[in-house]
Amino acid sequence: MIQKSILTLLLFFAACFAYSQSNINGIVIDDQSGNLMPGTSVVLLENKFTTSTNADGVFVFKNLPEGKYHICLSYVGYKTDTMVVSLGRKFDRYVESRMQAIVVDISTVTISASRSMKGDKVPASIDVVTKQRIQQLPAITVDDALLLIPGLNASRSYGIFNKTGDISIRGLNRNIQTLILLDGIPYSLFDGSANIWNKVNMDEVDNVEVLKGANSSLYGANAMAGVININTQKPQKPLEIKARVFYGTYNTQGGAVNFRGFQGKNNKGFYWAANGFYRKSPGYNMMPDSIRASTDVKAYVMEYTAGMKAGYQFAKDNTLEGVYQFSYDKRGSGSKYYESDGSFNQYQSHFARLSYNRITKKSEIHVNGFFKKDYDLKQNESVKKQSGLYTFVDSYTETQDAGLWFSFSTRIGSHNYLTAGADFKTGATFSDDIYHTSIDTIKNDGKMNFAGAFVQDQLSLLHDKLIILGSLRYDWVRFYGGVFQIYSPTLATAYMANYANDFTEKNWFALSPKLGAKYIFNPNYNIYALYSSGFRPSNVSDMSRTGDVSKGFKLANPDLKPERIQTFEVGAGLRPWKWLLFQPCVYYSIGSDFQYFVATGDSVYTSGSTMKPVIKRQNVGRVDILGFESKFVFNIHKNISLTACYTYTSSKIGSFVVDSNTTKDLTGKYLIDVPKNVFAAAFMWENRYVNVCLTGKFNDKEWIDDENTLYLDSYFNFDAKLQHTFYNKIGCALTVQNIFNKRLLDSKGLLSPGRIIMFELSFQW
Amino acid sequence: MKSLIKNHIYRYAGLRITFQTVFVSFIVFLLMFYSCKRSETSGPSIYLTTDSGYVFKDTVLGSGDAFKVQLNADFGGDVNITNVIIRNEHDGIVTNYFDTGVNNSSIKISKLLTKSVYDKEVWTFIAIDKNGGNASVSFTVTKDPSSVYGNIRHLNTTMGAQSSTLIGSFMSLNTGVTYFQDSAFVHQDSIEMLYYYDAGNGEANTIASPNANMGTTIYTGTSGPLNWTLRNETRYYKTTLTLADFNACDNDSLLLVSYSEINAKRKAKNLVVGDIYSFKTAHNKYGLFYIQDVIGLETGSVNAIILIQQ
Repeated sequence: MIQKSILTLLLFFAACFAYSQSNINGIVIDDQSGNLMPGTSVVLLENKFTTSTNADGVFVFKNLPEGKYHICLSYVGYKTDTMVVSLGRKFDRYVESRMQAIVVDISTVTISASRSMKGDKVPASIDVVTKQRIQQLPAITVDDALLLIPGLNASRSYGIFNKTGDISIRGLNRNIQTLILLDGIPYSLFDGSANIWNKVNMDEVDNVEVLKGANSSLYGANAMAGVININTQKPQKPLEIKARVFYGTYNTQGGAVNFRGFQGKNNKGFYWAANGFYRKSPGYNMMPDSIRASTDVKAYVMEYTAGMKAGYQFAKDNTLEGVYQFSYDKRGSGSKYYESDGSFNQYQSHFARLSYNRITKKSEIHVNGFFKKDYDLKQNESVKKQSGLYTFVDSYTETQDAGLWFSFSTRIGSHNYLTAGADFKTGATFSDDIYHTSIDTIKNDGKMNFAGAFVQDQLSLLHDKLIILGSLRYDWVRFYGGVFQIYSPTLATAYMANYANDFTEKNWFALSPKLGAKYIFNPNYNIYALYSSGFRPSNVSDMSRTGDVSKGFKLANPDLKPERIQTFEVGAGLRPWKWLLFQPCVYYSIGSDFQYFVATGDSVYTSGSTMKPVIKRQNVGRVDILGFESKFVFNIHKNISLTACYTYTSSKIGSFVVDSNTTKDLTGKYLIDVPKNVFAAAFMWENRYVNVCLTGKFNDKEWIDDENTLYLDSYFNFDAKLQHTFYNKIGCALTVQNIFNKRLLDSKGLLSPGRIIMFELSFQW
Repeated sequence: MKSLIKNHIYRYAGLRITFQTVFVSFIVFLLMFYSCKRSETSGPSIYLTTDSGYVFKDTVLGSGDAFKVQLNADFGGDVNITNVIIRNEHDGIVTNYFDTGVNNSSIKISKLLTKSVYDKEVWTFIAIDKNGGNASVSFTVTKDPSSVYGNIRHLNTTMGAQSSTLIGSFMSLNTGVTYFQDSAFVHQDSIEMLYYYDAGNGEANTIASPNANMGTTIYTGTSGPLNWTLRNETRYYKTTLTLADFNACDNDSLLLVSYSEINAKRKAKNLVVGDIYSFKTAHNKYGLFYIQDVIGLETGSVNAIILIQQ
């Protein structure tokens, strides 16, 4: 502190006496610790002069003409600071910048703006992946950047060639059990579509908030394992442009452009943004060489997204905003018989949102209307091994969601912050399987309506040291319009014809409470305890679709009840030293009415001579999940950090009770696709030459069949990213995923892509 | 002022002419475009070979008479043909005799068909392209009123399973002789039926065609069917006939009507006593067999009464 004061005085006197020149003298200080910050990059934007602070945290720009200057200060791990300095003739200016560290800090998180919860007050396990963190990590897709979230396991067996990015949180392995939001409103379709992550333009993401654990008390259906909210960037400067191109392994190439602008004064004005992203790759052969047939070809990808955002800001945190986003992707599945593009999945998605958000010190209001429509095409060519029968089918699925989410919060007295809201959503899916190699057509439709209302109170006691949070939500879900019909059945579908049906309407209700408490000893220590609940209604496919799946011949079950879960957790946020953050959490979840495939004991010859077991999704007894999550953040040095996460998960079927016809008892078996131990770490070193990020992940073995007889072995994976920015505008990055080129086989016996090297060149203005 | 108005009129007239020209051109272009499109996507065409030896038009045949047809189909210039169907209709009953998936711009398929027992039947040949466009051609086959049903042979045969050292597994329906594997290799052109027991694949007692997919451990060695150069195809269809129906059969009429071309498979699996299967050999002979006894072991055997066209 004394050192800082002396330097400040010296700078002041230097400014007074050096009046014959116009200079800018500055000092850079860590806002939290008050320490001086040597090595900070300082750019005078008007004439591109670049310098850095000396050992005393001081910088100087000399002999400048009179005028207005913008100074940009950046330091790894800190928010970039921009200052405006007006310089008179023959006069020196002294400026001071207080840089704010970007640290995963429990006290700075604001989760999901639309639900009015302040991160430092929430008794829950919350992680935020910032834009800076996404850029630092060797991530090629947004879900790659979720590596350092304990309890969350993001997997892509085939990298960018995966038609979905799979997320499992806290031992719940189905994508449909996690609710994904985009800017606070539902982005995952009502029917649980997992193809979310390929539609998100990584350059447009501002941060990703992950609220782990059951959260139906606020978000309603599907928020069983957790809620992931992807926030996009909001324009703040008059004009921002970012463009990048990349090229890498498997001839993968693409680019992205982002334009943003804000026209206005005093936090009032019009803002807009437009973005586009494109990527293509001829891909790689997933089938191992030893068993590859001539019909096994490369799994390719071609995808692009385009988005627009426009809004008017009436005042700070008072905006009306409209968004439209389009995405298209086509991914080959790696087999080809006659069609030039072989078997593939193609998705087209339109998403539109209109939002009004107003936040004041005393209240908040959020109104979001949204509409989403997906057109999916699955082209499938196959030849039966035994009969040699060639089948060529196109499956068209049109899914649409529309809804209105509303919430209002207000401060009541000095202790209560009350939030209430209501959500409405309607969804419909229409699917047609058109057989080209016969005259069959399968029609499968279904619709759902969702309505829910909730109330939450955040009670602050003992001078804000004790926070008690309680919320309660009531949901109604209606399934109707369920149709499964087969027209002109031939051998290809005749075995399903008996199951054609028009399904009757179903209604479910759910009451989801949550109660938690958090005690904040001081900004560095807190503990919390939480009880929460979640539910998920069945999806249309499981209720009304009969057909072949990988495990057998699946029968529709229109009597499925919603899955439910209750979670008890305790956790803490500990910062014993300023360089160490430790966030442990232990939880126990009890799932009831979980949906599981159950063999009926029958078998059927499907489309020819292949006999498959008949299975049906049914509500089985109980699932017990015990887990422990911990996260360490070591800020070893100002520009060196190590983040380490450990997750233990035991997801077991506590009791498996269906009926007397059940041919297997899975009591005591582990849920599939859930590794018991996961360890992930990232080492980051940022310096003036090249910023380095090394990550490693250990994935324990995971079961891939219900009976726990088959498993994928444990594995390590290491990734790296090197990057440097020239003149604060031109960026170069080299990302290497799977450094040691381990080519793993997944549960289908298909190979992972191995080492991926991606070179990227970007320009930012 | 006058010149200004005149100028304006000229300009306006010019605009009108330009607009009209563009509009008319646009309509003409659209018409041309769509008329071209229509001819490109006219759908597939189909015709039957009219060469000697092929049936391609209405004809009269006796029950059980075999006749050859050859259908030819071409795509319409846009999308490939993906489905070919041969349909049989008699007395208002429509059945698909043949229905297969393809993906080619042109198709040529030859079939050996058999006149059924019905007085009149219509054979229709259909080609369908990827977009659902289709073309068809048909003819009627009338039963020769003077024809009589064919004679049948009765065989009471036993076939041993793959490890049986007492009875051979491979049968020639023409001679009624069963062979062990090494001998069958020598007579592979006449072998039309074999028996094995395979509990592991859920097939248990199976009478199969020599060209059926079998587990590689069932018949091993160089003389095993997998190494044959000629593997005949016999297809089986499980009937709902009763033993009384079977015993009452004294000509080939029941053999002809009980076989389902499209549902027949190369294996009759999980055989138990009382099962009655119809079958058709590679030599276009129709037949029926009734399972009298089965010993489900790799050293076991199956005993069947076989009725087959002479």
